[in-house]
Amino acid sequence: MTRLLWLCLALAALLCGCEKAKQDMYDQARYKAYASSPLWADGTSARTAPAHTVVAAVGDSAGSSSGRQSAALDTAQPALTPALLRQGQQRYDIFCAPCHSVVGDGDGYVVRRGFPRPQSLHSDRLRQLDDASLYRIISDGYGVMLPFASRLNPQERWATVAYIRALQLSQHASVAQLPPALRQTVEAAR
Amino acid sequence: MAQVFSRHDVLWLKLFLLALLALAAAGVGVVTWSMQPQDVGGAAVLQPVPFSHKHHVADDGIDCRFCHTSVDKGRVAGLPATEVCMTCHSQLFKDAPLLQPVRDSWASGRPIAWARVHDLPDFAYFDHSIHVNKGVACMECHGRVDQMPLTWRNASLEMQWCLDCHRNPGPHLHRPEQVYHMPAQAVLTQSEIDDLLQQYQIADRRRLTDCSTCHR
Repeated sequence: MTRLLWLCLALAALLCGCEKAKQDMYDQARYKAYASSPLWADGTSARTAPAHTVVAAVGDSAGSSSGRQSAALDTAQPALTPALLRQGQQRYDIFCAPCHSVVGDGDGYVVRRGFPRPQSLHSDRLRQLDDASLYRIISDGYGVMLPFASRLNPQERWATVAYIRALQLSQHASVAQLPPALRQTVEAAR
Repeated sequence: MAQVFSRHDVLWLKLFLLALLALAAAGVGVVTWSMQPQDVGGAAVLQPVPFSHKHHVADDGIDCRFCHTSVDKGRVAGLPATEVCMTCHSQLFKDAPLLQPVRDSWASGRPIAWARVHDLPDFAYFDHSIHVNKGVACMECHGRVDQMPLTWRNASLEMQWCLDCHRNPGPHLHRPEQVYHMPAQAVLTQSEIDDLLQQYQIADRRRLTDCSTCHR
């Protein structure tokens, strides 16, 4: 009798091997990111804020329910730092360079495939545009350029503006503006 | 004492027991087969638009993050909104029949119903940002996406497969600027790997293999 009991226990233990055949822990009753949902007219479980929603929270911790500061919602122009420029360069090379090219002349690889060529960032008009206008163009788009507000958060947009300024300076700096070491190199090459 | 079963009956009994055994073996076989990981390599996942990573990454040189915008910021890499497609395709291939679902989605506001390529078990926690920000390149898990005309699974993503790297992450690490690059990269020396482990602060393997790292 005891032996039979042990046999039953051993057989029951074998059921552990069927863990993967039991799928209800694998697919739990919740929505994963981008899951579809029959509940909404647009067929997706991801909801966006209704139109004309105004951010009501204010203050340092407004951007986060956990009380941490959120850089993402801070739309003020940050101070110019090397880190900001590096971030701007990275974002520019990802999001702008396909059309504007890595040097900003508008000869990007998507333009070479037939996209209308954008104005060179080194043109007089774009050099004279103020930072706020560049920020607005990145956010809202311009002509055939779609808005990038959903892809670049405000801090990244300001960083990109800063890097565009650096690109513009790179093509219009006078020799007198260069650091002494570089100036010597340039003057020696003349 | 007389025999309970005749010789004839014994034959049938033996045959019956053998059949039972064979059935049990077949049952185990079927269950094992059904529990295999999702098929890996080769079989492309069908999509409403036959999107080619090969074209967009290898031919056009578009950065992974142009479309997968949240890969370095959050759990989910980010499936591009139709707006991202239309950034170029409002002008390029704007009458191509293949792209009709994209234009329909743009006009109606209904998202394109892309098919999921990887489906992790719901009890496994995975975060893209911590991986790419600590030097695990896209191609370590997704393979040479730049050579995929249609997208398929490159790795099983089974626990054993995850643990192989979590126990010994060194050989899978890349410099920060190499993470989103697709072509094969130069092999790092052991001292370079050690430097990267320090830089990414993952020299202590214990945290990488804690149960609660992935099951939370």
